[in-house]
Amino acid sequence: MFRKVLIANRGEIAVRIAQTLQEMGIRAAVVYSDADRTALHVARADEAYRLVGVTAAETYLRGDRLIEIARSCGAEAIHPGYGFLSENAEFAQACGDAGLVFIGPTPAAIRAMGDKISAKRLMQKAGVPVVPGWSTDGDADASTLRREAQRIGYPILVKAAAGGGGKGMRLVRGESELAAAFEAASRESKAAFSDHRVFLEKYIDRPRHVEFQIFGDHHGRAVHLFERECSIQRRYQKIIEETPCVALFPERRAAMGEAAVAAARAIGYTNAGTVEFILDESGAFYFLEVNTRLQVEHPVTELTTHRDLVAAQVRVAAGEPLPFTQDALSQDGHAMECRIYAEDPENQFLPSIGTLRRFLPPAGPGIRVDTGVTTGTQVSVHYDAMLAKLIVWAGSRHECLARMRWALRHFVVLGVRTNIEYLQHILAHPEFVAGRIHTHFLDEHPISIASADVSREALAVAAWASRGDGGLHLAGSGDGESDEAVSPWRSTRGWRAY
Amino acid sequence: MAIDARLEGILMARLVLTPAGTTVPVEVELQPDRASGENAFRFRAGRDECAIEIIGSGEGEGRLALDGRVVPFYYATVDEQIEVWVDGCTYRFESAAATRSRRSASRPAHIAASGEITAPMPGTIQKILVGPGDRVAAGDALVVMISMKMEMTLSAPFASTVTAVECRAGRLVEMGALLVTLKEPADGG
Repeated sequence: MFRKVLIANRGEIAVRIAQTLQEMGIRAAVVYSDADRTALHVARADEAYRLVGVTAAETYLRGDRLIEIARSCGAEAIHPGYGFLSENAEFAQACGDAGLVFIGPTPAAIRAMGDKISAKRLMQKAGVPVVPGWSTDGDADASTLRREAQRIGYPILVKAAAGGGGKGMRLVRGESELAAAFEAASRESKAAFSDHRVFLEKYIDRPRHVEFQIFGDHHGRAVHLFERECSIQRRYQKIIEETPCVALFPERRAAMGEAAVAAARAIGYTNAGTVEFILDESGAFYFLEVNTRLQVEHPVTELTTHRDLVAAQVRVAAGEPLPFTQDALSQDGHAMECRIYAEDPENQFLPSIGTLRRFLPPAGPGIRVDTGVTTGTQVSVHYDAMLAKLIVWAGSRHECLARMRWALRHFVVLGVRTNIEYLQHILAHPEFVAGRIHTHFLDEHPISIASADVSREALAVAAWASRGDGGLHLAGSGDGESDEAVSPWRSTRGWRAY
Repeated sequence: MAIDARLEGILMARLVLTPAGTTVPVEVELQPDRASGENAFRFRAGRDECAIEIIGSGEGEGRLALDGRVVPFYYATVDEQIEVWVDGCTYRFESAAATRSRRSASRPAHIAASGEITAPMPGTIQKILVGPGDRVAAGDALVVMISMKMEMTLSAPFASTVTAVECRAGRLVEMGALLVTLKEPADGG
């Protein structure tokens, strides 16, 4: 087994990986950008190395520097987490060339699945059902594009060949939108993945997003760890995930699981991966893509299968056989994850930056919080806006929902805007409660969080908290300035007494 | 001022608070109620009046007793607002003065009737698609921004001429920063 592993990531996933490594008796080394000097992942690591700079491109995306650091600190392996270099085949290759174990699939598997176009062709060949679409390896001229879009039939999706997470993706409802969407997706894809190629795909109405966790080892074994339903998305970004999926009865679950394992075998997949499907209202399922990394939402699988996926990743990467067989795996109870973002639901979900003045996640039976921030953390524009993942487990979906509502109601974040109340509203929606969800749920059921009622308690607290400022002093003595030195409102002077 | 002076030492706070997202101010008043305890107050919000008590308060937190119910609270002052967390919800209030100044400029950041295109979010300028003197139609893309990995295109709100470009590609900008100035063509122009 490894003695030291370098985590080439930041935030909650770096913290989460470090915990498992340390539990396994492996030293966890991390890297940090100048903006992350005081970050939680640095505090939790056994050793930390500086990456000069602030932007992702200057720091966490510098594969050459990461390999240098891993070698000089004596790490035997690199865990890439998710995002950043986790699905970069060249980086995985460079790790291998430098004598470091890349904790993930082989560069060939990443390459094969990273290109969404070739992945789809490969799956089609392996007999996995795919969504009708069109792609090209070269540049597309306008007339071909129009003709193919016509053939598939609107609405269609324009997607980045190298994409993921909704970046470089556009919905096109009619021909008039096609050229602009193609150009925008291309540009976004170029910026995000240095690859401008995009492809067209039939847009399926009200589909569920159901993905299967797969795992392969170097001894020819491949298994799945059941599904995760990730249908609640906003702008193609998942925000609530759960398992099991209420729409899967045992036969369909088995069929999809078999297709997922067939997909894994078709590419000789090793380590953790996810096969994404869309499930339409009739129950038909189609292959979407394979994510060749640990997923953000992996904890719901961990809580229902009682397996540590990071530990399994490390063991497989070290050459050990998978620590579980298909027959030994089962689903226990229900788990759900809410992604807590620093964003403003009342202002088009624009990112909200600032200092976390108070960050108090809930705790209690069945509650897990994966986070990389603390009170005092500066939320900047440089990295992802996700503050935490709130994951709960309970015996049934009904109890799980109640527990998640409780946990959200006890999650305190001050200093930046968050989607916590927005999530509470989704969880209270009768259609969500009934499990009638699909990827367009939030478009179909717009959630309005504006409330006409102002809490009396909140007003009382606001009045009390601002009592030293402008209240008595301005109104009574007419000498508001004298108390300003001790007033929390010193810099604003905005509070007026009447 | 005479009335205010009479209240000296009694009135702790009398504020007009505007809950964020609304334009309806609420007048609140807080008066010590020494007879009931060191941290007991009479609280009035509009026509609603009740007794409250603050228990075990620390830096930015405490417990509020109201109508026999005790609830924990947290608060922080952020920019010109006070944020209060109570009962699973975060409320934001601003003073009457802040509301007035905001209302005078209360159009969405990037939809500019004045022709000033400002950044709707903090982020990096990815691409500038126009230059001074360019004529643009309503809906034409002007600037592409990226923030937290999300791309956003800012478009011209009306047919106009670009009079100035105030940003540079690759630069970080704050929310509300002026990016492009547009001028509506004169009639017939």
